[in-house]
Amino acid sequence: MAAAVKDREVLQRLSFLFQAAHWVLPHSPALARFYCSIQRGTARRLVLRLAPSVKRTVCRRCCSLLLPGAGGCLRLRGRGQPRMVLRCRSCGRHRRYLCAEPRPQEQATPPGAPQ
Amino acid sequence: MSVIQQGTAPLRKAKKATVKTCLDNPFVLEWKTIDGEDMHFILQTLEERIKHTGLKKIETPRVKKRSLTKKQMERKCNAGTSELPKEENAEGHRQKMGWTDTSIRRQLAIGVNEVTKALEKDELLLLLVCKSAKPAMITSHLIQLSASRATPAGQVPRLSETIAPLLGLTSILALGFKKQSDKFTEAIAAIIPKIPALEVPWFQYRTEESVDFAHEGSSENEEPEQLAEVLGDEFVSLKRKRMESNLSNVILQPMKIKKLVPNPNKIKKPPRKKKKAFQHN
Repeated sequence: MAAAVKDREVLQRLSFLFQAAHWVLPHSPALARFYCSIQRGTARRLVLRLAPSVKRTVCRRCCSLLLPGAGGCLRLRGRGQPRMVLRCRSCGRHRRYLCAEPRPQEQATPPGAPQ
Repeated sequence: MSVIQQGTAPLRKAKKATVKTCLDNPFVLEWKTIDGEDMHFILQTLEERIKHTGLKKIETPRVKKRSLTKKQMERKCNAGTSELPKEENAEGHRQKMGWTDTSIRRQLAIGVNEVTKALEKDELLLLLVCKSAKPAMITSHLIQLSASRATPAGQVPRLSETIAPLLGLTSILALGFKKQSDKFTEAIAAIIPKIPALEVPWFQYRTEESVDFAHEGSSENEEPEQLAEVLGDEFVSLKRKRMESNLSNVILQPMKIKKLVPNPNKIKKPPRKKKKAFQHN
């Protein structure tokens, strides 16, 4: 499809930004934040979809890259249905994700739903 | 890319399921399952060690009596049974609830949250994860954490089934051995060589030998430089210096695109009968 071809370059760019942010993170978290903000801005401008796993590693408020070790604290809370509480260390924003069973759909849909 | 909705379901044709492209995570972080002999060896070593030290959490009186009282209440439906758990809990306290040996308990990190905290403080020597976690993303964050702290971590299929009853718990998904553990040092030293190394790209390649750039990487390196020029020269020069010195080992992962088909069985609200021009959010 023509639309996919046009977006393919942009998607490559987004992917590259995402990976570059991971590589740069230990050296300069500010740069990683810059990359992620550009990535999100580009995706927003062209209304592109990002995988939830990509979205979760980027903080919504400050756009910093959250890795479970550096940048974000991850806890499991809740007895019956465990929730993952991800807290960004730089801006202190909590995100709760429900750890639901993966739905048996054809296209790989993510197991959790952001609250 | 827009999907035209129609009011009546039977008019939906197969052409309407337009495929949406979505950027998928280029990094695939998976546990490497330890199978076969290594798994048996690890489990046996741990069992022996735990039985030797006699570490156990005495919790059984509470659990059994609560389940009994629930069944009793269902069958008898008496108001008097509500007093039973209180009495039996008091009896349980007399039997010394809790762990048999607290000093040994402090050398272990049991449970995902405790393991996560200990990893963040860099206190663990070894980490074992159970494969039977449902959903699997409960333990998936531990991969990145343990890689960042350079802690060997392995996924053993039946960890929970084997070790949880030994310790008197219902299920163990993650088990960590802290750095100050005396009694488990031999077991740890025996287990560590059996665990395969975790593959996390951005932590691993830093310490390894230099790897050539991928083809895609070389062509796309122009982009961040173009972006940086917008900001200013100082920023560019700093970034270039850093990038050249530290990122010689980068391999760019191929971009992954996930193609999504919107669920055809999705229950959609019937659109209002007003004209499309007047639709508002």
